[in-house]
Amino acid sequence: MSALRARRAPVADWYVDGDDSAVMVGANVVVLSQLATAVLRILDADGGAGAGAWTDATVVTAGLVERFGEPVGLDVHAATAAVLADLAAQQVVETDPQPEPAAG
Amino acid sequence: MSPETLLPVHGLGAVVTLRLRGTEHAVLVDTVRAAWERCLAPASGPGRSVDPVDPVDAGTLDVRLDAPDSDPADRHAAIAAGAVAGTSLADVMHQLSPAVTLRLIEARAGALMMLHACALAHPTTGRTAVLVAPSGTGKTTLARTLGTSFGYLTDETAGIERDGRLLPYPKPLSVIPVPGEPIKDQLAPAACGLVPAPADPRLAAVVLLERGAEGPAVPEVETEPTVTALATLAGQTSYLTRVERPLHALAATIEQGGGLRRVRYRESASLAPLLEGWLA
Repeated sequence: MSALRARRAPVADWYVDGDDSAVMVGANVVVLSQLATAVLRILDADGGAGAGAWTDATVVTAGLVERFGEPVGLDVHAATAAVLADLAAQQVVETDPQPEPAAG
Repeated sequence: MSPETLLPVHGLGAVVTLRLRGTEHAVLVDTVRAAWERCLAPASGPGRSVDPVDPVDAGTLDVRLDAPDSDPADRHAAIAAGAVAGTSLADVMHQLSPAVTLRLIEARAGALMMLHACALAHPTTGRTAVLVAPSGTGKTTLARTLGTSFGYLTDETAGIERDGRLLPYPKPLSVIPVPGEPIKDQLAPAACGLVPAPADPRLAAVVLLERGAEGPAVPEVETEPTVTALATLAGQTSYLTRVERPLHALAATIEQGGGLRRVRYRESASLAPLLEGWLA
């Protein structure tokens, strides 16, 4: 899990209003949760705005724990990986390695 | 060589020149002039919608009406070249409306925020409500109902500049004559008794229409946070991706209208008091 890293995808625009935000990916608008918005902020702070340098998932995890606290009943790294995989599926972030396709 | 007439049609701050031709040229010219009278080249005097700036050139659109027994070769060649053409006046007029709209919005892509909406303005204040709805869900009905009290800007596409000024597109109303009929009648705004657009319409309200037979008799209004409103409205825009920083531009438009209002209603006339309040 420590090898996982992520960066913002080159989205057309990112609109932030407080803790909420929306991104434009191609012609689609994706509304982000507060958690997802925080992930993008962490990636920007660590890797630079836009499609910047890669950020290790452990940095994302640390930022999310600082912001939201430890998730109850979840492995914190697995939770981060799940959020990143979800954002990658929506082309909001890029991850390395790519998430495994869902079985079935 | 059949005669031809060039007719400039204005809307959204652009102008498309119609080149009217065909064996039935005369009746075509008369019908287009009558239906599109509010979009013809600006003329001084009350009752005309005048483009506030030099219009953007949206090119020329060939329009052809031939007698049914005429040689189809010229007509087929014209259609192949992108013209609106046919042997039925109603069908040609039906095709013309979306063709003109497409030319105008293509000409303004990236320069205007364009929403699929009916737009109505207070005749004295110029404050304007942009009433967003997908095709076939009430825009034209609303324009026909409330446009007799409020200035009619469009029943199809609202063009909004960054400063909140609207550029009228007072096209003919496209009305289905009887349920199930595929060809819509094109009714001149004046013939429907619609009030002309005021001189300087400004955005005052952005409204998402949700009309339904089971909707409330008294309209219900909810406001939607701007972040989610972006996703709600993006699908009702034209060429949003061509606008610089598209989400910020759309958010600015929403905020200029005081936030997105979602309105559930049953009958168009029931919205009149809401518009009175928003636009006074």
